Amino acid sequence: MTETLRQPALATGDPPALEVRNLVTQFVTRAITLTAVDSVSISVARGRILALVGESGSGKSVTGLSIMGLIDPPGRIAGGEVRVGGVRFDVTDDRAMQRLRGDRLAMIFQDPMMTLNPVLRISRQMTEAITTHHPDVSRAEARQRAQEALALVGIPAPKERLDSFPHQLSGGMRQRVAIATALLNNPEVIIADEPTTALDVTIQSQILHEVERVCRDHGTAFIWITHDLSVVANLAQDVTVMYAGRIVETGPVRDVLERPLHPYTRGLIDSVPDIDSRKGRLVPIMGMMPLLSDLPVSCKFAPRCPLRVAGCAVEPPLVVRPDGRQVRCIRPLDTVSANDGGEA
Amino acid sequence: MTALVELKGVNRQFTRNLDLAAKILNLLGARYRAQTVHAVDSVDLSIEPGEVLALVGESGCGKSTLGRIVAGILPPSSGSLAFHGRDVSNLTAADRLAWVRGVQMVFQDPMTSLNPRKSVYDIIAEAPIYHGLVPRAEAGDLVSRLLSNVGLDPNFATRMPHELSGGQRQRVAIAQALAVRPEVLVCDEATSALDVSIQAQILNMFLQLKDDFGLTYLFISHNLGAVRHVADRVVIMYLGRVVEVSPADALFAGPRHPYTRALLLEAPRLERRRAFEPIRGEIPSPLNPPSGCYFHPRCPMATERCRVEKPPLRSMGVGRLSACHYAEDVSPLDVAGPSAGADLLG
Amino acid sequence: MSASPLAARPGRFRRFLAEYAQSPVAVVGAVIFGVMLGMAVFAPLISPQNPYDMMMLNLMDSRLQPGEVGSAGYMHWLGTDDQGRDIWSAIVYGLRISLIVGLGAGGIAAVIGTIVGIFAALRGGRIDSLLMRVVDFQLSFPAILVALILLAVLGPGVGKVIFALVTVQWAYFARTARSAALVESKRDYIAGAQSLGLGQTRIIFGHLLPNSIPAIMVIAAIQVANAILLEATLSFLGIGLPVTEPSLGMVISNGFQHILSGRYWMTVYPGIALVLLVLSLNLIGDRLRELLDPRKSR
Repeated sequence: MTETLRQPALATGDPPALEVRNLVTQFVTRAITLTAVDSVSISVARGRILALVGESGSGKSVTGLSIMGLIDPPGRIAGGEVRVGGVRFDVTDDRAMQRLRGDRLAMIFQDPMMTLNPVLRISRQMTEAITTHHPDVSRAEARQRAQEALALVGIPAPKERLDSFPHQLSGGMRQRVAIATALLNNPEVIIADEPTTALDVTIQSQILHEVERVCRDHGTAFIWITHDLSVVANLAQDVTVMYAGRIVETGPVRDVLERPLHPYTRGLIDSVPDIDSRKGRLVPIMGMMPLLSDLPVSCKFAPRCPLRVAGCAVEPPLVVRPDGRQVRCIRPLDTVSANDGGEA
Repeated sequence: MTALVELKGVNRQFTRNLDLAAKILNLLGARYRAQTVHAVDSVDLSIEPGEVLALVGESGCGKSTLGRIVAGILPPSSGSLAFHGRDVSNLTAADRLAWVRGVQMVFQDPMTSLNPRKSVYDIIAEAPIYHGLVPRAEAGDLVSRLLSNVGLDPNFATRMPHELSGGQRQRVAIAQALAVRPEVLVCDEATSALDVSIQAQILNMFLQLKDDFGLTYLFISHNLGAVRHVADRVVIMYLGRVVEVSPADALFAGPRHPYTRALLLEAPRLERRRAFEPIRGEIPSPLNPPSGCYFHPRCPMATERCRVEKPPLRSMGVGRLSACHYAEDVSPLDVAGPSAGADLLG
Repeated sequence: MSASPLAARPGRFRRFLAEYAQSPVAVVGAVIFGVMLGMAVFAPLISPQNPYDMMMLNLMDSRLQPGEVGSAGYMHWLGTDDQGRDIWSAIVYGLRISLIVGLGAGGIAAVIGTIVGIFAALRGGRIDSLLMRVVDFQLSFPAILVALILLAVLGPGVGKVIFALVTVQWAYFARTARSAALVESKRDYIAGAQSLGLGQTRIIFGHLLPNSIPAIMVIAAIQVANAILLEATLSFLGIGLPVTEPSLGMVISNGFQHILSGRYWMTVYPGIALVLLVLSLNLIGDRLRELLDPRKSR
């Protein structure tokens, strides 16, 4: 197995598999309007994996659901564009999204039972996923494709497994079936929301391995939503860090993890205990992420930031640097020397 | 020095007996059988005063069940448990109270580990008042002090659990446990449900409290990074059995069991991207464990002997135990693949 | 058990009311029920006559249409029945009995059922199986049949009707209480209470019961409505309550024979009252069930 992924050759000028521009998602109640996703822009090319990283309340899951058009009232998409393969889609148009979902755009959830219907055999669900989008495919052929998808994700004896019910499978198996179901119609983009968080280390490892292979062999683009930085380090090529509904940093994984630009990213990295060495005290980020109902007008991270200065009272813009990395901070870490602290 | 807590030959089975309908059907020729899970299978364990002993394993390994047995919430099916050297099934009333209070548990899910209908004050103060550790009039002070110890403002005492975040609830749960002045804290995946930055805060707090209160920890976790950070000694479990025991540094430097090796290799890390072969196969169901060594179907070093003969826990040096017939041959971590010179099964 | 110097927060109940009030329909239900409860409590004050005091009746006033003035000089807004009873008064006094029977039976059944249910949940094993088989057995009989048989044996009387209704209803509570107790007993805070060394009694009454009560409250509202309806049916059939203590059901029954002769008011108005009462209780019960939906993060 090679260290890095080989991407299928991208013709120059190929549009990204998925592009999101200035997405805004809000939750409107009588009392208050919460902006869960505030002007988020991301893009993933064919055959690449983008990790969307954040903690609870960062808006990463809502972003994924918004792209899939799965936001129900009181939530609503208040702005932005989503383009699949260069073509713009209206995520509020349910019929258009229904055609996309399961066919060109697929989602995997943390709990495989959100994908799998407990009273249906897997074969039924999977063949249905195929024939709904491609009615011309015969049932026998759909079954064959389902069986191949199961083999693809590493399920042993796929022919026999095909007729099982979800409860006859272990958690890891179910998640593989959910992934296989997502793969059935060869989607261009798969959005995975914490799919391995609830799984054991050895099983997670197997699934990450399969996902890498699928990405390499089929050119599927992945958006991998997670809070686990070590998974990001081993799976994705690019990473976007979110905080309080906004993007605070974007860049290639190696660069962001080795030379983070945003103090929050640095804080996250320092919070992760390392297997390979016993650090002294972990350096956690003090305090908590603000509630969406209680966001400061300053930089959202400023109350917790050790490098805060007077200028942080104004929300910084997301700056795209010459090297392509993006950061939302007036004092990115490569401009701050080791002795600089914060004022104010 | 006697161990603080000592388990010998502890077993815990869960049996689902046949109900009336199944028994009748059996008489008519069906073949329903009572199902038994050996959640914990002849475990010997000792926890020394002042140490952080980590209990590590994946689903079905029995670490939670073992944690509950140590905390006194679940009785073992067989085997003995000793606290301060005295068998707990045979204690005087006073000693029994000391044991019940002496080992406390912090649970994984902050959403269900606090009584939703009690205020933070009641949650923390109830047990010490009940046991007469503090007169009711002074309970307010105790609560304020404990809240400060766990990093919460004393005015949190009037709040209700649903008003608190996950991290805050977990702190209250810890304060609740500390209120009865325990000697041992069993932390059952206490940080797993929390966000990364909150986990770090709580892990730091655990270490601080250990020094402040002179605590001993049984730290149950599947997160090897957290274990590395806090543990003095590590016990690895698989399907109810202990497969390796070792001081932490030695374990992470050179495991002596193929399962431990796999766990260490497969845990993703922030740094280097590893090229690895994930171990094949699923974790077997505890209802139907494999024969001989439970790990043999997935083990790259397995032989016929492993299929037939259960490996005993044997000494591999000072404080190191491993339940593997070929423990000496387990490859170091920087060498890819299984060890050389083993007969491969299949 | 909490005599905390930082007092029990008044906020909790108020918060519950605020959440409840977010559904206008549920508020309407609560208001209607409240009004009817008030009507029943203050019956003597708001009705011109006590319709079951023979002294006050005058046969000359019988079968008056709604809006006519009777011999005592006041308007009979809803008319009179064939004995001269003011329908409005009959409704208001009938509400009293209906509510006494409904709330009484529901309340007692709730207590008995809860005790049995929680006991079964905690003991488990054979005792649990046995008790639940008894519950199943009880529930497999149509309620009306059991009540009829019991009352045939016992004879008329408010107390006996309540007894019959309790016999029929305790089983629902037992089942619900058992489920709630089973769910709660598996939660970590109960294990935590055990770990802290709290006694079994303390855990049951201080931890398990309070958290099981919400589920029981939900079906309590609906069961009270059922009790009222069941009793009305019994009265309609002429069983159960004595003539001197009529519930709404009996008022309806008395007036029923006149419906074909065009004197609708004797049956229809009490009928409307009964429907409103039962409906309001059901609305309250539904709202309570929504509020307790476990999918809400609590």
